[in-house]
Amino acid sequence: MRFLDLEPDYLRRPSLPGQVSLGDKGQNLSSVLQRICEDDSKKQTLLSWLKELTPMDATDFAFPSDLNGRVLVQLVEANGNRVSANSASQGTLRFLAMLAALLGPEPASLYFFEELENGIHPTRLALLLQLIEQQVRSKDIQFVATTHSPQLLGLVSAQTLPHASLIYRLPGQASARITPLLEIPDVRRVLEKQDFGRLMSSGFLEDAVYLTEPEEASAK
Amino acid sequence: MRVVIIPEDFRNDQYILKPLVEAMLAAAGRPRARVTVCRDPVIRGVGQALDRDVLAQIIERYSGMTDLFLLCVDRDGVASRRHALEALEVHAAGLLNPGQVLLGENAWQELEVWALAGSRTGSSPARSRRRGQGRSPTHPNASDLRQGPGQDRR
Repeated sequence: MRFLDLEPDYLRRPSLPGQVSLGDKGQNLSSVLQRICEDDSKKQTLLSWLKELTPMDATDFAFPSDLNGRVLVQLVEANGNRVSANSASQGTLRFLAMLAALLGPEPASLYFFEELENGIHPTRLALLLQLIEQQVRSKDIQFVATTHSPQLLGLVSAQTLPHASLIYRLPGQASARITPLLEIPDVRRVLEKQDFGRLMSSGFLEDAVYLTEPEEASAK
Repeated sequence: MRVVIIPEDFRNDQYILKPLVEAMLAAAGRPRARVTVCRDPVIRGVGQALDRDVLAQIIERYSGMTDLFLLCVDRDGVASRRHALEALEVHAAGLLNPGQVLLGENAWQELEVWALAGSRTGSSPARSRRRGQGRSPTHPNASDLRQGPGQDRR
């Protein structure tokens, strides 16, 4: 089981070669990428996803080391430009970290990912979901992610949607609850005619659990 | 009872309407009524609030979980607004499930007046007498009105 709450500062830190798993804040990103790149087919997979998920024309990775032997990843573009992790955008680094987690030599069987959409351009959210859904289908892993993005919710595939849940807290109640979205009364009917992302951003999902809560359980 | 309020602009009106409607329902013997404010479609002004297509979207979305739809708009000095609301009530009746109702109401002249009517501090005879003797330099709730969400409705 691995919790990932990625922070750019950690993603940009050099790390010692030989580390094979990502820390919960993204530590060891460069070392894990370096290890992945030792396998050429995995390296090509990594590059192909990176090209799709970011605006960069990356064709290779480089791992220069500092005086202490620690490495920091550089993205090598087709024109020869090298972009260090220090200069790469947060979105690019987060993509790299997710790829490193999923394609790394020691994948976990269960991932928890906080705020999946952070730093990611909205036009690339569909690809991000595609990457995750593909990895989950092809490997024996589970992936749990939180999001506040209506757009991301609108892009979830029909296969994944039954596993999506709403976390909410009713007025006057002391604790939050979690309910599968499709089990919220009447949501299936509304979903057939209205966009899921828009329903989320309008607060309809919270309204639905509030209005359909049995009276004895609702706020006094 | 489950109530969906449809304001002409939810962004600030919600802070007036939700507590007011909850208090009215409690006074009417419904203290456990669940009240929410419709925030989508984003209605911007009375023209959109009285649009039948907009209303149909809202009713379709909330019809499985609502007993009362409450459409609240400013009267704005327009004498025919009551008539327009009555026409909408009749139209909505054809969209609603049995047992559901849509009521339209126009605030004279604006919803902010309802907020003043809902003030707990302004209704005692003693306060009324004091008001007659001279106007307070600031409204008793002035600080509340200046602070918090919804303060900049106009």
